[in-house]
Amino acid sequence: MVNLDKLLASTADINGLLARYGVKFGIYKNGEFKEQLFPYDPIPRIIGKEEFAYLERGLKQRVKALNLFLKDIYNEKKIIADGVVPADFVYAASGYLAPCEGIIPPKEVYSHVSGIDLVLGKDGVWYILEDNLRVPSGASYPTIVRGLERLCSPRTFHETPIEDNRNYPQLLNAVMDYVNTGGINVVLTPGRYNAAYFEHSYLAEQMSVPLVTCNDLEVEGDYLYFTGYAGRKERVGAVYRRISDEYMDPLTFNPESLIGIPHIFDVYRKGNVALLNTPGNGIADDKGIYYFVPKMIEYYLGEEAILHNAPTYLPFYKEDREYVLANFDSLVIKDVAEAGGYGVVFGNKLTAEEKERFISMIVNEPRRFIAQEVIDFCDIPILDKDGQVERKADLRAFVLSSEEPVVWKSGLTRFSRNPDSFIVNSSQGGGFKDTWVLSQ
Amino acid sequence: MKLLSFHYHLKIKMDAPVSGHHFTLRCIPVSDSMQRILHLQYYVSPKDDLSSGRDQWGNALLCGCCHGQHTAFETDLCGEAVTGLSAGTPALSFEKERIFSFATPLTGADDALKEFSAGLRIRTGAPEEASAIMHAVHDALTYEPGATTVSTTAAECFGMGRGVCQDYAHVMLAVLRDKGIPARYVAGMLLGEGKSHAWVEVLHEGIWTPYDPTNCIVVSDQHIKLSHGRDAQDCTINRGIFKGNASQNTDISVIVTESEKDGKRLLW
Repeated sequence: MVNLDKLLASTADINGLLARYGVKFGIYKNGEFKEQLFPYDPIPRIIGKEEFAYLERGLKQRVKALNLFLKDIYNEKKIIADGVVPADFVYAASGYLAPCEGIIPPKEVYSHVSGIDLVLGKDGVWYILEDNLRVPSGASYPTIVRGLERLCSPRTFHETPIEDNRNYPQLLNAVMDYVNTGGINVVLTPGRYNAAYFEHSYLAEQMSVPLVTCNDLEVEGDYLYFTGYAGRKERVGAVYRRISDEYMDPLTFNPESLIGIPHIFDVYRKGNVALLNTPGNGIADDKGIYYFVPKMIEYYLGEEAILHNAPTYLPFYKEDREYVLANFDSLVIKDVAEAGGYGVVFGNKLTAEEKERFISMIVNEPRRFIAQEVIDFCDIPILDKDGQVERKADLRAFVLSSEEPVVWKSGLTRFSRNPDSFIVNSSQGGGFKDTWVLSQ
Repeated sequence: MKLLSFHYHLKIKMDAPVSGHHFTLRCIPVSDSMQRILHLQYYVSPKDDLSSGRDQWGNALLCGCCHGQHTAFETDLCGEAVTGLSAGTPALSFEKERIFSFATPLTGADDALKEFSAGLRIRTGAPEEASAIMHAVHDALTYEPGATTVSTTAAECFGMGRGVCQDYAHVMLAVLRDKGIPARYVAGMLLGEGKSHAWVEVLHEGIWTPYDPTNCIVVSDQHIKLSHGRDAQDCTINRGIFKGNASQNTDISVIVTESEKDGKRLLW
């Protein structure tokens, strides 16, 4: 039995230190930027060695297939030609970016950092909730908090065989080195008003690479350069960019972007810089495409999916549409164009009028929605004002891909404060826990 | 088959100095199975840096920047083109071209366009069917410069019944795509004097065949292609970004003349 007494007693200290280090999460509400603390809960989520080994196998398999899917979609498109994924789901999706057509990124890695969200059902089965292959955030929180936990309760870590998770920056650096096309590595941030700015600065510092904004990088000829504060100009070979695709290059994507680097995409197309993650990945973590991931695994790897999707229906298919309309009240409906817990609707929480409007939307634009069974997922204990209470939680596992995918032996466990809420996204409030993976 | 000589000139005047000017130019014609480009010469001014590249559709790009202050930007391009070498250009696999059968924000069909499209009993991009669409689009619109802007959609133009070559092309694309027929936008130059021109290519049995709905003709040897894409946005001739509070005035002039019919040179 793990002794948590000391850790529980140190909660306020740890949260105080996190606040001091600036471990915050920024959100925009009604057009206003607000930073809020990301509350830490001291009761860890503990995953046994064997259970994690199972997750590891499933996650590697999934990320491998997603990577092959991205290569296929932007090149040969065999999976569409073979009728496994309908063309509509690719070309009409907001995550599909035509400028990425025909590009093979350095070392053929598309999703360098994949954040895969899972939940543990009451049936004891882990379900994949969604894949995040664009700029998944969150790895920095368990990494920094582990150091604080070890300070506050060293004995716990001496007595319990827990995999050290403080190697995340090294794993990320290794991926950057693997795809680097010649030159230095940098972390590109949109700036301090980004929701995850703490993470950008923390990872850059831990990796000992420059944290840069668009003003520090410039394209010259066919290459990308970084000019440091001392005026020295260096070629850049890999950019861990924490800015979304559409803002990255005003000359290829959104022309209004002031946080992008003109012509960076042209340098990338020529193979002269690696961008992590690769632009255009949004097609693979699209909510509509999610349905097809188990089919992708079969198609590309000839294997059965190890990890399960939540049971999902696509109103796009007539049979599924009929099921969704007949069972509307027991399902959760997601708008595929929205992210971060927005656009998620529970069928039984709508008024009759809202329900009618929603159903007509599904009938008119079936491709826009997916419907899922509500998974009754395990509650896990958190420390509340009045002691331990049970709350919903999910797990974001991080898979780092270089030659082979590597699963980080930890993860971000997020929980909802609200006892009735199933939505645990950080952008909707809530807090986080460390995730301990046992080594024995 | 014709030997055409072309001269393309773009001049942007800013009413206040700008700096940190980055630009991507898509105005370099490329040789393909319909046209062969000869003696191509160009200059861009001012510039500190210029490099060439290709976009995702294979169009030639000139990317560059000018750091210092300037109040004008100019591109001049001239050369010769042997045109009409064949009736179309070979396509990639159907799967790779299929994206061109999906509407874009500029080429979506609204109810009126859908009704118009439904009235045309056409199912494929075969020459007689594509021509019928071209005629119908041509007849439905009146050529009127100034009636539309670069961001006018096919549906808006169709609603007004007026537009210029870009709009004719977008409306024809909207109809073709409504029917699921892959079709792409082409930017280029036309024999004579004027501005840049736009038309449409329709995919049928592995060949992209060009149609000019503005002039209601099947493209043969009077057109020089500069680029193609899903719609006008993919074919923007000059895309730039600069620092400075200036409004700009863009002037484009294109002159395409038929070179002397010198038998020897036509042997190309």
